[in-house]
Amino acid sequence: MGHNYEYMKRPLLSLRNIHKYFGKVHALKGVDLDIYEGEIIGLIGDNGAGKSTLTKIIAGVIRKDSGEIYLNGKPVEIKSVEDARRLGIEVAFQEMTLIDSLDIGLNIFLGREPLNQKIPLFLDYNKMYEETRKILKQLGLRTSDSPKREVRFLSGGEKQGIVVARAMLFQSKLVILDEPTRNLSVAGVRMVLDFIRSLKEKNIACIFISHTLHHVYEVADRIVLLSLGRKILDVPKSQYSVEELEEMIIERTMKHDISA
Amino acid sequence: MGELKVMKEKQSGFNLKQNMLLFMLENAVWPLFIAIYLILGVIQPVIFSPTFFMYILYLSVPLGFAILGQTICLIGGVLDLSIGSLVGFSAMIAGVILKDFYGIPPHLSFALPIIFGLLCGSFNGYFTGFLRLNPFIVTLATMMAFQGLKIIVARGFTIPGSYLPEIYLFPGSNVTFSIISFIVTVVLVWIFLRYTRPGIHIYVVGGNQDVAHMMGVDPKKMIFLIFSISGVFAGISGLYYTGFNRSVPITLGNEVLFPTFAAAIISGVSLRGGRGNILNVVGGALLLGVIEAFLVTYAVSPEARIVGYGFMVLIAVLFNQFRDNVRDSILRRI
Repeated sequence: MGHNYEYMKRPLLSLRNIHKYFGKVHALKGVDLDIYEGEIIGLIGDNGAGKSTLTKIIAGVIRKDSGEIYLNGKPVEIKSVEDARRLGIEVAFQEMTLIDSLDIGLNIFLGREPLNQKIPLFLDYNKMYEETRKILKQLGLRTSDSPKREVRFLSGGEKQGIVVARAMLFQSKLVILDEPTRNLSVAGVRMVLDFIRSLKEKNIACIFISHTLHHVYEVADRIVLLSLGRKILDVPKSQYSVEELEEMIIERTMKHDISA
Repeated sequence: MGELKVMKEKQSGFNLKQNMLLFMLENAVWPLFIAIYLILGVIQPVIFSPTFFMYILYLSVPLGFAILGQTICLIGGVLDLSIGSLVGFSAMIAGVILKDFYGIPPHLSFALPIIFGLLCGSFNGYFTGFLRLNPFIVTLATMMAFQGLKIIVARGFTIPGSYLPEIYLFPGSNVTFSIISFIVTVVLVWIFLRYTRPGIHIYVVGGNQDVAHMMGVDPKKMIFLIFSISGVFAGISGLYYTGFNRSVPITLGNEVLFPTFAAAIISGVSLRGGRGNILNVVGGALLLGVIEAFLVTYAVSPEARIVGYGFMVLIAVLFNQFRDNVRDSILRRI
């Protein structure tokens, strides 16, 4: 397959032979995946293909049943969200990372609230709301005026903006964006795509999950297709047009689904 | 430019009115308390005397501590049905130990009910938090267990205050100390909930346990913490009830559970979890205190008061629902 220069380097994160069962359901059937520094992976597939399961394992939300994970070539165990964050993996699961009854500032800093330098355990609210306002303004969001507004009164797009803001604020080595363009207006989609490009400029890798190829094609360096728990396509985007890829996806999916 | 300024002012005036309304709604328990205080005072003028007002405050303190415990549970999205039984059990076992075993330094005697409260609360917390069992069922079971244990350790008798160290009775029997220590505790709890990380995480877990888990806030640990805190407050409540009564009656704690719900809910603590202001809960405690004191002046039987408490919980839930609906409809429009 494509000998892109990126494939010659050591991957940032490597997954090898990842299996996951939910009871009798074999959700992941030995998935391998390499993610390079600053690379954007477009992870696509139908519902139940295993996209969410795979990314939740990387994020430490659920644990794999077998397989290995390597970070910069060293084997690592990701047992919890804290483990993943320590390794520089940030999650931006849509709808599943916001608490409706809390305000925007607290939601952005959820689980990582800035602490007062002098008094242990006490929060630094000033810093929290200041940084919240700054990051929302940077993203050009209307919500920057009211960082103390409860999240449940925000629209779908505004909520997504909060999730993006969080991912941006805690810039890390790998950001997982689960359906970041869903519920967004055209301008919102543009914003997310710009955000993903800006991650790349800062050498931050990104897994961009979507149902459809069209959303990821514009920014992705590599397209990975999952179907029924298996990786059936993993190609650098640059060598194919969107039509060629689409054809490949349909062909591979059909072949795989019939044999499965 | 001038037009814009006018528009801005209009806008902010509109917001000011809305903000005031929101402020009133969120703190509605205080006007409600004042209104009921005035109405009951017209019927029974003795309520207006400063001494009687102090009595109302004093009367509200032992129950107030239990209300704090229940409120923290509700904010954390769980409920503690065992809190009343635990108030009784922790007071009773501490009383029995102080009565029957010599050699416990009197100035450490206060720790006894609090330690038993903490242990029993952690027990609730272990089953609901770490074993993920339904809090309703777990605390229903421990409610019965603590109630039975209280009667077993008491061997059926009330412990008279004369058997207990005078210093042990002091916090609950001294009116000034009782009231001031409660106010200080409320302020500390308020600071804890609003300004510390574990405090905010109680709101986080109450808001949505799945999201909390996803974002690295461990619901298991937090629920264990919540029930442990609730247990500590049950123990403190037991200590103050002992001083208030100058004895440990076998019935101690029997009438605690329902008022804790009524006070918390009427103060705006959400039954869905994740929302509530502990300062307003003091208003709820006072509201119940004034009603209780009023009923005492008319010598209403305890049985009739229990009926009243039942209805009070219902009214509080209705009131809460109504307030939330109005509040949401305003906030959605902003």
